[in-house]
Amino acid sequence: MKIYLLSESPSGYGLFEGHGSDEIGQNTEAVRSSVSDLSRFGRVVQLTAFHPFQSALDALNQINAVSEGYMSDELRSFLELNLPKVKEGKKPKFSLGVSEPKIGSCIFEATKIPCQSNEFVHELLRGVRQHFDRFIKDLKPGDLEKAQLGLAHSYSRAKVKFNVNRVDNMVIQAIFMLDTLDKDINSFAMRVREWYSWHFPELVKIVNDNYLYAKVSKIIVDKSKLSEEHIPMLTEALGDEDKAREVIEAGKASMGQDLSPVDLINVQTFAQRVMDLADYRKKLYDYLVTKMSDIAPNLAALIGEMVGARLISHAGSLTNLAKCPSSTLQILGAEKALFRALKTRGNTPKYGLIFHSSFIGRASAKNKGRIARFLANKCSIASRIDCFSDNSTTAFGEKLREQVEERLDFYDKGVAPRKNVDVMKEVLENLEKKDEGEKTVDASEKKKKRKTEEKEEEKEEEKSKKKKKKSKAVEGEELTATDNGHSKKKKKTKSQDDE
Amino acid sequence: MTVEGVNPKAYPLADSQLSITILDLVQQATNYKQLKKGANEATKTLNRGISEFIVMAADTEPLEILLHLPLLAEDKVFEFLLIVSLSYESQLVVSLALASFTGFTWVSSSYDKKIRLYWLLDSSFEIVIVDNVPYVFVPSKQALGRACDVTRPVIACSVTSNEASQLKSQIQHLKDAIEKLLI
Repeated sequence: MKIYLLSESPSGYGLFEGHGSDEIGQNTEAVRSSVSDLSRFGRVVQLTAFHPFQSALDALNQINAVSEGYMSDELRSFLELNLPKVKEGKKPKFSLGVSEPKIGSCIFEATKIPCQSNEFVHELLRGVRQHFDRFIKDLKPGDLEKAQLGLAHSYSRAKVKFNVNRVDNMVIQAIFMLDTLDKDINSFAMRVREWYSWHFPELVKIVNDNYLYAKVSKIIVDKSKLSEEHIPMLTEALGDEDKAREVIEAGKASMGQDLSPVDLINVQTFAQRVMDLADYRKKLYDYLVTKMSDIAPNLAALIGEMVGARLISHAGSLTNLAKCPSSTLQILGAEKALFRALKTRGNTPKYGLIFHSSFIGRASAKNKGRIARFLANKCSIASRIDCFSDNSTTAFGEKLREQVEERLDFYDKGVAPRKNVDVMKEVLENLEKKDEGEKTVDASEKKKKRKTEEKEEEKEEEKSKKKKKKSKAVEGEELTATDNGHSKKKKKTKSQDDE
Repeated sequence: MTVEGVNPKAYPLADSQLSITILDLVQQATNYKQLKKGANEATKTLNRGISEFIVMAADTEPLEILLHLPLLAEDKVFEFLLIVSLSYESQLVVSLALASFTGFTWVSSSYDKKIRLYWLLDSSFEIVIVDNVPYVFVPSKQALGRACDVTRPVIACSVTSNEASQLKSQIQHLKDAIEKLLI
């Protein structure tokens, strides 16, 4: 049985014919020893045909097709031209050795040429690669190295360009910038208050908001020039005419010292920069929301854009987050507490970054751990759907969110929640119906959903703020409760195992 | 209920005969306590390197919640060697170095695995031998749940390693059969 070898080099495709395979047989060691010697190897393998690539771009396209397991038209015509024809019904008397099994199966499907990719073939191809420049007479010295280098650069650059992880980096940088900006704005705002208080100390008590304080100080400039004419501007800034009058009354009786015009200009400039930074932070937040709805729409719909972005940045990328089991996702952000607990054999943490979700805040003290585990499980499902799904949709995220709500109701009131299978079927049915419907109707519905989502998020944020204060007090109680005894935990673990 | 088209992402998909063999082995692994049920536990076995092969259900909805398992199953580091080489010219040096380090019989088996070379700065290189954990899709998650002795459907499970187990030879045969699906 004859054997042919297909070799892909940076310069082009090569087809080689193997001779004397009966003598060597399938003995790999014998082949390995003969490979190093060109004179011996030249008798075993001979060049049948060579098809050079026309350009560097053509080489890149061909190698991409080979690495993905496809057979390009060029390769197909090359093989059909140089190999003996395979007649239907008859068994072919030769086989083609390839280095990549996937492309071998593809070649067989398209042309019925039998392919094999085993140890023996790999050894022969290794010898072909070693002596390739001497098989092809037209190649000048150094041509092969140049072609290799150029193709390697192009191939790697193409791989890096289409890396999906590159998109995650934008979210990771945005969330880092957002956190840094929050700290900086807070520091600068405190500095503005302290600086302007030399001139107008009573203003601190009247205006509590940092942003409004900077705005009002920019309007006033010099308290000695305050008059009734400033009331409209102050009313517009503060939103309250009584407060505006209060500011003016305080200005008249202020005990702050006078500042020179140069000092006042500096304070004004700094206040303006703080206001600009605060405006930029709002724009950055909007950018992050938009980016998260593109990259991870289901995760953002389930847990919120901010917490979702923090999870992605902590895991390193959306792909890494999808690869985590849900127990790891649950305690992302609490590694310090986890390792301390493992070292001292104490209590492991219940949650990490997902603590900032509104669901954790709304759960009662004894159910926080269960809700955290349930929520981490849904976040895992959502992140995997976002990472590997071709179509971008928030339908799964919304249904998963409903499931968490049902779980909260189940713990509070005992209402039976739905199962995963039912929820997923419902989502897929809705998706199919939407595909059948008109596109214009879908667009209008999506807009409405986004508005309702924004309102709901605002309400939940307010609720979470209130409940965080309660949860702090409850946490104090938890500490005392845990000190009481370990038997309670054992009972809990048993009950959890039963569940 | 109705037989729908199978998701093309569910690859490699076992035919009915191989599915029966896989589910039978999964059931035996359940009895021998060599089975981890569920996508999260399967992920952990892959991370810890104790998985023999992964079985997934092709009718999972949506299928994307399983597709991180093939990513993890490929490129599990199997062996790590550090060898100083005086020559870059030929890959034969790599083979000879491997032979001198480990012996010929092991070198022969090592060619079944991927070998990656990482060139270091001091004219030496690392050899990382990478082995895939085989993974396969079966048509029905209900059947997979029954094979795992669970009343619920199971979308993914992992058969774990145990050198002293009586299932060793059956697992090896099944791994070979799964890898043949990829050719």
